[in-house]
Amino acid sequence: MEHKNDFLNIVKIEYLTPENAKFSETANGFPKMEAFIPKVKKDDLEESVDDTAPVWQDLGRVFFHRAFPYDSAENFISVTDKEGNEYGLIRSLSEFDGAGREIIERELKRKYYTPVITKIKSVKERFGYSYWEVETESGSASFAMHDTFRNTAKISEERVVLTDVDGNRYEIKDVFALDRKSYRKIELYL
Amino acid sequence: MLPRLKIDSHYYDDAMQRAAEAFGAEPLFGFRFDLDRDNVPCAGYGCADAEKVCVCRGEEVMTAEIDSMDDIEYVQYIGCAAIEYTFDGERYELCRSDMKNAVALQNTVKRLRSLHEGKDIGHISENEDETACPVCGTPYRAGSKICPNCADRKKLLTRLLPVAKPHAVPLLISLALYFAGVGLSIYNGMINRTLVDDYLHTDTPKQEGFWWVIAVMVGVALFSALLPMVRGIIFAKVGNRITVKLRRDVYEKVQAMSLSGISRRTAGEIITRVTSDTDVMREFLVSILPDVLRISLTFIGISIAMFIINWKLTLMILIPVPLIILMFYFLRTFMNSIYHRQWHAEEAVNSLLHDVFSGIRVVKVFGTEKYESERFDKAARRVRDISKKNEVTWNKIMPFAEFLLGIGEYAILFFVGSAIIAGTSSLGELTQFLTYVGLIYGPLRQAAFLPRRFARAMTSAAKVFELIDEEPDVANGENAVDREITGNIHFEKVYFGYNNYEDVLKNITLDINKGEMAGIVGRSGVGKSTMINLVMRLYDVRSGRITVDGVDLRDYDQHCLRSQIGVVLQETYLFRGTIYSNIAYARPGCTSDDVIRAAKLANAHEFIMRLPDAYNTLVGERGQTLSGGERQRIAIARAILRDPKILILDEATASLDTKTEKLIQDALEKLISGRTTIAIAHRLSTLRNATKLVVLEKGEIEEMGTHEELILNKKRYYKLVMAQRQMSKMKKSDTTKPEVIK
Repeated sequence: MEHKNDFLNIVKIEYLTPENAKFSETANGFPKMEAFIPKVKKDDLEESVDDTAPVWQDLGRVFFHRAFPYDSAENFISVTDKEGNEYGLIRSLSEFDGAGREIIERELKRKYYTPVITKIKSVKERFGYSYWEVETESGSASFAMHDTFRNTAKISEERVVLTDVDGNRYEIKDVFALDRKSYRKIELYL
Repeated sequence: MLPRLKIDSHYYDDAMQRAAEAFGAEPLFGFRFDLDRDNVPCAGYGCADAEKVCVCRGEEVMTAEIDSMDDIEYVQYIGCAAIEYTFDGERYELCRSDMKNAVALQNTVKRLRSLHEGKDIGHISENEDETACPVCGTPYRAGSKICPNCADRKKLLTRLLPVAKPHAVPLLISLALYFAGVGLSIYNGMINRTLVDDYLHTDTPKQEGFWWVIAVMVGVALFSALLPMVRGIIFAKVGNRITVKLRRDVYEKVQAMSLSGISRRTAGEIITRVTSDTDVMREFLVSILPDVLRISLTFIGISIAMFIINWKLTLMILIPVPLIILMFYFLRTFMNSIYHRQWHAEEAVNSLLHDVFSGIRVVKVFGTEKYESERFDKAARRVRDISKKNEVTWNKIMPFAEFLLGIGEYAILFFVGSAIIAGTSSLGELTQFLTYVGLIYGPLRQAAFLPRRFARAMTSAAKVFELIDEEPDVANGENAVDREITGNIHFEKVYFGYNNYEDVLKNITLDINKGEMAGIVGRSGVGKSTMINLVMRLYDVRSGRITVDGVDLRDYDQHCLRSQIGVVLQETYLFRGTIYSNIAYARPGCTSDDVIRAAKLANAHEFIMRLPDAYNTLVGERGQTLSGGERQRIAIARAILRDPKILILDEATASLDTKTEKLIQDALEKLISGRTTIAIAHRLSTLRNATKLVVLEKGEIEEMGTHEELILNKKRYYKLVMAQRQMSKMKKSDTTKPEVIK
């Protein structure tokens, strides 16, 4: 039975598009945004304005947060203020182009730092800790993991994210695409 | 320089030197960082004194005046972190690093802030910010200074043995029995030889004493049977005691663990560790370890006996032994890894089961039984696949290994046989040797199974010790105060955050005097529950202090403190048992009279007496047979029975209908009188008896005072009250509507 959920329509998602959101940079390269959206309340104690008509406003520095960092990193990117209050969502990065897109992409790259593992040189396990020597896209790295099985997040059949003792994340885009020796080393934790 | 994640230390030395040159003075402290603005790895070093901070990143060197840096902040990104500050109205990024140096950056921010405020930060020791073990370079775990690598060097074995120490006497007796057993085997070989050479295979067979030889053989066989029996009985006794002890240790540890330590793990995993892992450890101590002893004793004893008879032949027999041992070595590492996997898969099934049955109502309501079955099926199939694969691998390797082990016997047959044919050896000698070879290779065969058992035991032991080794975040002080409190709570400039860089509570200063009722108001996530968590000392404050009767919370004995605090939460957990035992839980050893009084005070007596089994009514695993309001009243009865000096109410009436709420409010009023009370409530009417209201906003106290004062203030509290009145008016008009229509 096909089910249509009209109920969900009572809430509206504020989408930010090149038409209603202009991204630029501060003097020091932080992203800022001007947007044509309903007046943003700075404090919830302000008298509530029933006027939801959009206006152009300079929102200053903004922050980005991926809604689906693993499943679809390029889509549904939340634009928030410093406290994490959402101004709106970017449905897809591909809607933007030119300088605006560059600014968003650069900021995302700065926010999400996840070296991609291309080769596993060695894994040694000792008493609940494992010690890894790997090659990543930006050079060799070594790190230690605690409770390895638990900290090996299986995003999908082939994609894996390892979190080390410090909280650094390392991604393997496709474990089956690794060379045989590397695969054998990580197989244990899949 | 190519971007490298692993940066050789000399790059840091370079950066450090450049920074030092640019700095030109003796710095107070230094810190490392390893990413540039665009997350490209680089070697970075920064140093600071009271006036300025200087960072060096590759060729780039930058200095800033600390006085002119405002809002210095630690910014947590995903997988990296940065320090930002404001200068002349513009935001700047000072430096950035991956999480390896996160602690160092957090400390740096703390220090820079202090320096900016003109505070003295005191002496900073060299390795305070060290995030990796200076011995082996392994990074520390967050908030810990114990190197997992170096601390764990102490072999698990030396950890395991002390567990058996209290049972040393019976274990030594069994060791003696082992010696006797080996002696008997050697003697048995000698008799065999006598039997063949003197009685059976000789030209002049002796007549006398033949029955005697047979009798000795029977005697030896009898003793050989009796020895393992005695040993078995001893081990069964000792083994069970060890299991109980281990389980109790692990269980106590789990209870002593802080909340954050427990919530990190699934209940299923903890259960596995308490039950099956400890069992495997017992098996190690009373079965595997004795086997190792027995096998090595037999091996050494028999080898010596053979050497005495014919050393050349003995050497020949022993030559393949190193090969066999080598084979075992590789087998062991291999088996270790495959059994590790099986353990994880089995645990996944356990956790899944636990997960589903805890949430069985959700599963039923959403009708997802099929989906859950499939999920379980998938996990079970995984266990099946892994264990099948493991068994297959095992069975592929074993017969071949067995064959290799048998080769030695054929070698003996060949060499001694040739000697007999040549006339230099007797048949008796062959018999004796074959007996010994059987004895020596037999244990080696059993030893082939040892790696498998060993691996399993070590995996379990590592997991159990991991839990036992966990340092509690909240520990008792050295001279913990154990005394009755009166209930004057004082917050003094309290800062607290669940992590190091973000404060949930900021600069909280607050007095709650004996008998006062303080209501904490604020939106969700503002830190209300955090405040009461701190009062109960489930966590320790980051800076500042909380005192009760003038004594720092950290100086109290935890048990003493919590035994004088009563808590009524929004959701009440009832243990499996009777209503009576659930109420009496608060004060073991109280009389039935006490329990009934407490229930009466809590307005619970009436509904309890309406139940067929009254106080003996069994409440299910989650007290599902009782309604929310009824459970809440039992919780209040518990708190009343406890007679606490400090009472904490966390949304105690939030999930109840108006009528029940009235009953509970009445019960609570009786409980509150004369006690220091901290109450959290969204419904402000609940707090009408509060002598002091505290409005929290963004982790800070925004307003404080009595209801009347705050209403006159016309700030946040006033607005909240107005908004809630509006709501209740709307509700009333809703209910009156039908009457209007009539």
